[in-house]
Amino acid sequence: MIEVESESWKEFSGTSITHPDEQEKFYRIFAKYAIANGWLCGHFLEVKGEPIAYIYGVNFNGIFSSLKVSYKVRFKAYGPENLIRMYTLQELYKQRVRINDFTGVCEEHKMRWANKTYGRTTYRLFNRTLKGVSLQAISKIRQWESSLSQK
Amino acid sequence: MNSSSIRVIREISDLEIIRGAWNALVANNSHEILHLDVSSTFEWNRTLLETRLKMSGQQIFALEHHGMLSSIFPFYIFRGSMYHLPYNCLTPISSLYGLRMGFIALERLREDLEVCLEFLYHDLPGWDVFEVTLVDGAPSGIAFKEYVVRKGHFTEIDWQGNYPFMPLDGTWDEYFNGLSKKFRAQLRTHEKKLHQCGEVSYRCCIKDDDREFFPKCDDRS
Repeated sequence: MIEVESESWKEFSGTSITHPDEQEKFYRIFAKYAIANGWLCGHFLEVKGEPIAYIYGVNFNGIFSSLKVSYKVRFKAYGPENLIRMYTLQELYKQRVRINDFTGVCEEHKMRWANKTYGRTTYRLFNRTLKGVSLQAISKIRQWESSLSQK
Repeated sequence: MNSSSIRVIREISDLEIIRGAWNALVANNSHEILHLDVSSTFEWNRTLLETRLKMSGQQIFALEHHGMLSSIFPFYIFRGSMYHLPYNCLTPISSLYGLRMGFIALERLREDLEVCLEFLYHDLPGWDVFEVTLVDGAPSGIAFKEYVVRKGHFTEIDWQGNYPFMPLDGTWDEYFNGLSKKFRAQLRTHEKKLHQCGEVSYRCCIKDDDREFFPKCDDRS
């Protein structure tokens, strides 16, 4: 995985898991627990024994969730991301996994495979503190302004 | 007489004691796409506590009914800024990094959520805004919306988004043949081109012996 990440587009954009950031640490520590619980599942695509793409995810109660997908940029012309998804989905069917959760928001490359979506909403509730009441008042005014502009 | 009680857990050692009961709540509420997922497990939250919160600042509320753990609300407080005003935000630990998030509860979700939120309002100082991300139409999302309507609370929607998934019904061949003709042709072309580079292999690693493929596990903790 580290080998693929070091040559992925994410390495150049700064989001790769090889960067010494908190996400990398999260994955390293969580992998220990996930392996112990039998949740972790890594899917790898290799050419002449060289790993070129992977999907790192968890199989939890019959639902596979992709946590990380990556490939080596020099193989981009061969569509490694789509190929690793194709092999992975084929394997998930074999393993009788019930649902594949692509995770992350809808993007064109995921929507070529996915046939359904679910929604997520972030809500805010305000406390009765001075700041809470003030923020709630501002929020109400903004909602009112927004509804006026829509009319 | 109310047989429910709420307990605030701040020590990690106390959390370890309820690991089994915590994960049982998640396991029994994670079979469908609208249900919880691995990001609600003890292990996921424990890893976030360790890596992101440095084991401090957590506000974990365990609700017990007749002496049995009936729900768990792992929260933390961070300092945020909204409309140019700094404020203290109370939010689930999994909001640091989570997938299909929700409240970790089963049969007593509605009752326990109300007990927990009322406790936050009346007994927990130090927060101005409670922020939570929930799956639309999921038990947690429904219970939360019912609560705010029942109590007449004002809520702000900070963000909404859609997430792709696919039920693996039928067979792989049926599914594959259902993809667009153009996309299937593109996949075959890429596959053929890749084979021209050398032997192509795919492998799925799920066992402990496959550790070499996973990020080096941190055994220091």
